[in-house]
Formats: sequence, structure tokens, C-alpha cells
Amino acid sequence: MTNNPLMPINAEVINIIPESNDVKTFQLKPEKPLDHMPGQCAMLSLLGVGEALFSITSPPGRDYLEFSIKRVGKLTEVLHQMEPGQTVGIRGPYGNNFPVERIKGKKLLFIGGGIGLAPLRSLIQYTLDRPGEYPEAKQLIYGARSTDDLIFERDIFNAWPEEKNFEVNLSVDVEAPNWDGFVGFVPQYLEELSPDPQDTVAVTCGPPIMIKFVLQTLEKIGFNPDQIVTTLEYKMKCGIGKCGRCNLDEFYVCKDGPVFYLSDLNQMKSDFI
Amino acid sequence: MKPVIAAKSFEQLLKALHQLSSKYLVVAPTTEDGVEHYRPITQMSEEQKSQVERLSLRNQPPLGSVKPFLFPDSEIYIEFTKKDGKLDVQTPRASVPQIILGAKPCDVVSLELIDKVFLEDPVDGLYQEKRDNTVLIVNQCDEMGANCRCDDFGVQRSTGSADLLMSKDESSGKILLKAQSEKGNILAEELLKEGMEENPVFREPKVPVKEALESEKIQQAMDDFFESPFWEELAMRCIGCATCTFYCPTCHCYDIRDFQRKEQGARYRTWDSCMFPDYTRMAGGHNPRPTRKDRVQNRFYHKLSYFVKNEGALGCVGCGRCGEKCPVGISMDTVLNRIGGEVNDK
Ligand SMILES: Cc1cc2nc3c(=O)[nH]c(=O)nc-3n(C[C@H](O)[C@H](O)[C@H](O)COP(=O)(O)OP(=O)(O)OC[C@H]3O[C@@H](n4cnc5c(N)ncnc54)[C@H](O)[C@@H]3O)c2cc1C
Ligand code: SF4
Ligand code: SF4
Ligand code: FES
Repeated sequence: MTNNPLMPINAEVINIIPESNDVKTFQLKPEKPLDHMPGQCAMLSLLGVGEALFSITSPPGRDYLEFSIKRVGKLTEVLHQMEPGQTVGIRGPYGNNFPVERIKGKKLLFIGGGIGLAPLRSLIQYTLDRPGEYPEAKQLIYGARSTDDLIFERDIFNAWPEEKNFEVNLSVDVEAPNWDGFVGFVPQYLEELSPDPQDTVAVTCGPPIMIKFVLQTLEKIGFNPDQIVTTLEYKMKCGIGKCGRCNLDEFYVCKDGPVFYLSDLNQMKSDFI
Repeated sequence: MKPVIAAKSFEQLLKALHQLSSKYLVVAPTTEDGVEHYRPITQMSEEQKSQVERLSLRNQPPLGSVKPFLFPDSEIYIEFTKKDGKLDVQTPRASVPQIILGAKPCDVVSLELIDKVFLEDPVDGLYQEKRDNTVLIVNQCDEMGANCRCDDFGVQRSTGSADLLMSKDESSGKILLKAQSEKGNILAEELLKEGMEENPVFREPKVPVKEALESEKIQQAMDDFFESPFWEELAMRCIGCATCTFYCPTCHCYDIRDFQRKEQGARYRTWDSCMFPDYTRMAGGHNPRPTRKDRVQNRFYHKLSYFVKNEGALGCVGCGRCGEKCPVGISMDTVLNRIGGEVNDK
């Protein structure tokens, strides 16, 4: 048998949780376990339909992997029609992970937009699972287009606000009845809240345009580039640094990313967003 | 001493290789509709066969490189049938042993550059299997061809992973082969059985070896040149056709696609090009390399800077194919002359 790293293995869909109009969370059980760290991704595929990369949104150490998938196109459309008991192809995990060592003992500021909360959720849960290593205050600023687009409602409305030392701030782009959170874009909310940068690391993930303005705002309110961690979403095919497409300068986002410190991104010659 | 064997003529060599075609796929350079490519000798017309000697011994590579035989332009790696809700998956059969006759030093080195990417962990088994199954018979050029820049890239006479070296003894007309690998030895043995003879000497190529460009210096010059308005000018000329990348023997980018019609389908990979905007454009429309300038720059920086940083070598062998086929005359020289110029001006 040829050793082909592009060859997926089977994973059984064990549960599907609707999150919003166009996002569902899939619990998968691969035929062989994939050991991952928060921030890593995996390729999911259906033969004849296609393959795409998704963040693993569950923390390590569960006996399943969770993916929160937004219905945007060919593959995700078919995935959304699946039912528990069916199988998908999976390969991975790919990429680096959030700097879980470097952020130990720091205050943590998570900033997410839309489906971008998916990779952050793995990290948030990882740090909540280890209060001894991450004892300092945590804050989440999370926004979506509308109240219906907020995902992980059981976490953002119930579980996380119950945690001690964890402040959850939610926003939506447009006014909605019964919404008493912030109305506006995530970068604006961030500026309004202006969290104290002292001993804090900010970790952000979201659509490129949000990331761009979040990074600007963070620097404006006093964060240094080495206190800012971001994920980049590039088009990917192989996931292993060979098909060439996801490079940013000499780095491959699939292999050397998707997690980067802003201080490292600032060294790049090419525009990273 | 390395064993050297000789055929009385090129014709005898071809005949001997023909005899082995039940065991090996034998490919050699010929022309097809006026374009030079490697093709299986068993599929060649007599007219095409008559081209093989000239193209195999010529001081210039054929337009089509040997790359498609190791990294095909389209390669299925999963086949399936879906019938009555049941999925049946097959992986295509393993590759067959193959002989590539008349490869050039530049093509040999181009494979060594692709090795650095595909054979690095996680190993690309599809490529590795073909690489292990390929016997390269290499003719070193006696002088440089019109578009060749192998001297600058240090690949003249390069024979690193060649299995057999081939040259012609002009006085006797004999074709000499010198084995330099285990696979080469095995093939030499087989060719002896097919009527070739041992020979005391090999004829070394005449080409003078020039000092190559220093990869770190080029990389540094490129990095210093990133903000130059030159890249805008180049992007105005380039029409984004991607011809350069499809002819390039060191380009290794690919796409992965699925195909299904009725009950049958496949997943395959296929060459792709960084010169196309879709290459990096994501679902949703965002594109980290939105302009042609970004893409032209990426191509040259990948070859002349990023590859040096990641793999310790320039990602170009100076074969000249990109420049020969570019409809607007952009070549490696276009860039090298400019960065060299700027460096010297300092
Ligand atoms: C590192 C990384 C992590 C990722 N993590 C996740 C994740 O956790 N969850 C997730 O859902 N996705 C994630 N993605 C994105 C995911 O890979 C893509 O959305 C995927 O390509 C969708 O595949 P598809 O076949 O359904 O869409 P395609 O068929 O490839 O796209 C179809 C078309 O839909 C339209 N479209 C797509 N996206 C949008 C959009 N945002 N807005 C408007 N129109 C759009 C476009 O016209 C597009 O051409 C991640 C990507 C990367 C690189
Ligand atoms: S970049 Fe041009 S000259 Fe260099 S190896 Fe590729 S085709 Fe040949
Ligand atoms: S062949 Fe020439 S015109 Fe076509 S993409 Fe390459 S550089 Fe541009
Ligand atoms: S996805 Fe292929 S190199 Fe990154």
C-alpha cells in the first residue's frame, strides 16, 4: 500500500447540534483517534463532493472531535444534510496550535467573530479545564451578524458566564428585539470595552475584515504585537505544506500556522490579510 | 570502477530497451505535433522514433520535462462506486517501473528539488513510489543551449540522482552508458543480456563548468528588492496565463478535486498554478494575493527566496522553458538581471 498522506480515514457522525440558521456542530468519532491541540484543524471530505479544512472546536481529551461548520458551498451543503450514523472522511490534525505554554499565567482576552469562535472555543475550554495553569481573569468578546448567528449558545449564555473570573461580552451587528447586549461591530465593542493590556494576551479569530480592524484596535488600546495572537484563514488543499497554495512569504499557513503572533506577522514582506 | 557498457549505435540501444518493454515503461524524447515531449517508445511512430537520438543527445532539454512521469498533471488516488447507498472504494494500482531515456542534468536536478518538498515528512507516497520505480538515463550536454542558464544555477554536468550516464563516442558512433546507482547497475546487466557490450572507457562531457550564483546572495538581493516598482511593471506585462508554471520542472503546486458521474467517481490531484487568482481565492471571496503583482512576485520569490530559506537551494534549474514559452518574454533573466543590476549599483 502506498503511503499517501492525502488519504482520509473514516469517521462516524455521532451527533449533530444545530447552532444557527447556517451552522451545525458535528461530533465525529474517527476510526483511529487524532490527537490534537487547540487551534489545530482537520480536512473533512465526502467522496465525489469535495474536501475542506475545519477547525477542531472541541478541546483535546474528549472521545470525539467536534467541528462547527457553516453552510457556504458545495461540501458544507451536503454535510448539513447528513445524519448521525453516517460517515465522513477525515485527515489531520494539521497546523500548529495556540501557544498554550506561552500564555500560561496571563490574563486572556478572546475576541471572536461569527464562525471564528470555533477554534477559540477549543482554547477557551482547554484553559477552563486547567484552572491551575490559567488562573487569571478571562474575557470573551464575541459578535455575530444577528442574534440568530451567535453560535455555541449553551456556552456563551450559560456555561461560560457561570465560570468564575470569566467575563462574556456579546454583540450583534444589527438591533434586535430582546437584545440587551452591544449593537455594532466587534472592533467597535472592543474599543468601547478597552480591556487593560497589562499582563494580558489577546487571541482573535474571525473573518479577515474583522481581524484586520481588531488588530488595529488592539494596538490602539495599548497591546503590543507580542501580546496579540491571531489565526489566518487561507485557502488550503493538502494541509501539509506541499500543494503550495497557502504560503505567506516562506511560511505555509497550513503547516507553520494557522496561529501566529502579530509580532511575527509584522515581519512578513507580503500583506497577510 | 563503475561499469561502462556500449551499444554499437543508438538504434541498437533503442532496440535493447524495446526488448525490456514488458518489464519497464520506456519513455524518450520525441516530437508530437511539432512539440517536444517524452513519450513511451512503444507508442511512437517510426518517424517519432527517428527523433529520439537527436533529442536525447542534444545540448538542450525538450520543451516538456520529465516531471509528468513522476508527478502527473492529473493523478487519481481514490476511485469509488456508490450503488444503492453502498460505497465501494478502491485505490488505483501501483505504478510500474519506468526508464526515462535522454533526461538532462537540469531535469535531474529539478527532481532533486521536488524531492526536497515531496519526500520530506510527511512523505508523498504517490511521488516516492514513482521516484523509486524510475531509472534515469542522463545525457550531459557538451555545450549550453540557446535559452539555458544551467551554469548560473550550478546544474551543468549535475548527475546526482542519475542512474546511468549516457554519451556518444563520435569516432565510433557507439553509445556509452555508465551506471551509477543500484537501479542503474541492474539495468546495465539487463542491457548486456540484450546484446550491449562492456566498454573500457566513458566519454566525459566537454562543457566547461562555470561558477554558479550563490543562493544566499540571490535570496538576499531578492528580499532587498521586494518594494521595488519593478514588480508593478512586470505585472503590467504578464497576462497571467500560467504557461511558465506549467512548463516548469520544479513547480510542484497542485489542486485536489472530486469527480462523480452517476455511480462512478474519483478523487484526484492536478497541477495548479500560483499565477491564477483562484489559486488563493477563498470561499467567500477573500484573496490574500488579490493582484497580479502579488502573484508575479510570489512566483519569483518562491523560486529565488522562499525556496532558499526553506530548502537551502534556489528553486530554479535555469532550464529556460518559462522564458521560451512566455508570450510576453518574461524569463528568469528578466528578474536576475534587475536584482543583479541593483545590487551592483550599490
Ligand atoms: C484554517 C481554517 C480553519 C477553518 N475553520 C472553519 C470552521 O471551523 N468552520 C467552518 O465552517 N469553516 C471553516 N473554514 C472555512 C472552510 O474551509 C470553507 O468555508 C470551506 O471551503 C467551505 O467549503 P464548501 O465546499 O462548502 O464551499 P465552496 O463550495 O468551496 O464555496 C462555495 C461558494 O460559497 C460562497 N461563500 C463561501 N463562503 C462565503 C461567505 N463566508 N460569505 C458569503 N459567501 C460565501 C462563495 O461564493 C463560494 O465560492 C476554515 C478554513 C481554514 C483555512
Ligand atoms: S523557473 Fe523557468 S528556468 Fe527555472 S526551472 Fe522553472 S521553467 Fe526552468
Ligand atoms: S508565461 Fe509569462 S505571461 Fe504567462 S503567467 Fe508566466 S510570466 Fe505571466
Ligand atoms: S494547503 Fe497545501 S501547502 Fe498549505
